Amino acid sequence: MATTEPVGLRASASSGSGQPRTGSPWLSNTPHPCFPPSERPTALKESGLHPLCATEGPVLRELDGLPAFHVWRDALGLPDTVTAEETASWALGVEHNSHGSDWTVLAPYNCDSELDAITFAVDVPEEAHR
Amino acid sequence: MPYKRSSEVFMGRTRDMLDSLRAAVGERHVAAVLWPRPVR
Repeated sequence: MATTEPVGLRASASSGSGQPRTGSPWLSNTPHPCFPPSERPTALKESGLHPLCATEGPVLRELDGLPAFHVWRDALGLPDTVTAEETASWALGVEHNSHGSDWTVLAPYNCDSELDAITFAVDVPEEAHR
Repeated sequence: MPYKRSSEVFMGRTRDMLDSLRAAVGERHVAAVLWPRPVR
């Protein structure tokens, strides 16, 4: 049977293993970014990942310590002048528990180029806050 | 890879992301809020 799993999907992400998920289903051999605070600096340094930063309700202000809209544009390879409408086929997948088993896919409702923030129609899941 | 990860956030094409997430963790564990979008 052909697999439907995306590139980089961890085998442990499949159900039925009986083992707790210890990493992202998207990146092979990458520690999960949700570490206890006392371990976070070392673990993040080893994994190359950075904590999700400032959110205020539905407004995402920072990713990786950088302005969220800047990171969004850079990740998608879009010009500085892009508008929310022009990103209609793109979305953000937000993991909202430490096991990587629950996700919310959010489409930006508005992108503020002055504040470099992204606004969604609903609040960013609480568990994603750091 | 179709996605770029930034901490707990993935960025990618909506349909590909939904399909891949649902295949990975199951449809009932993936919520989606894609609308409304502003119409101008």
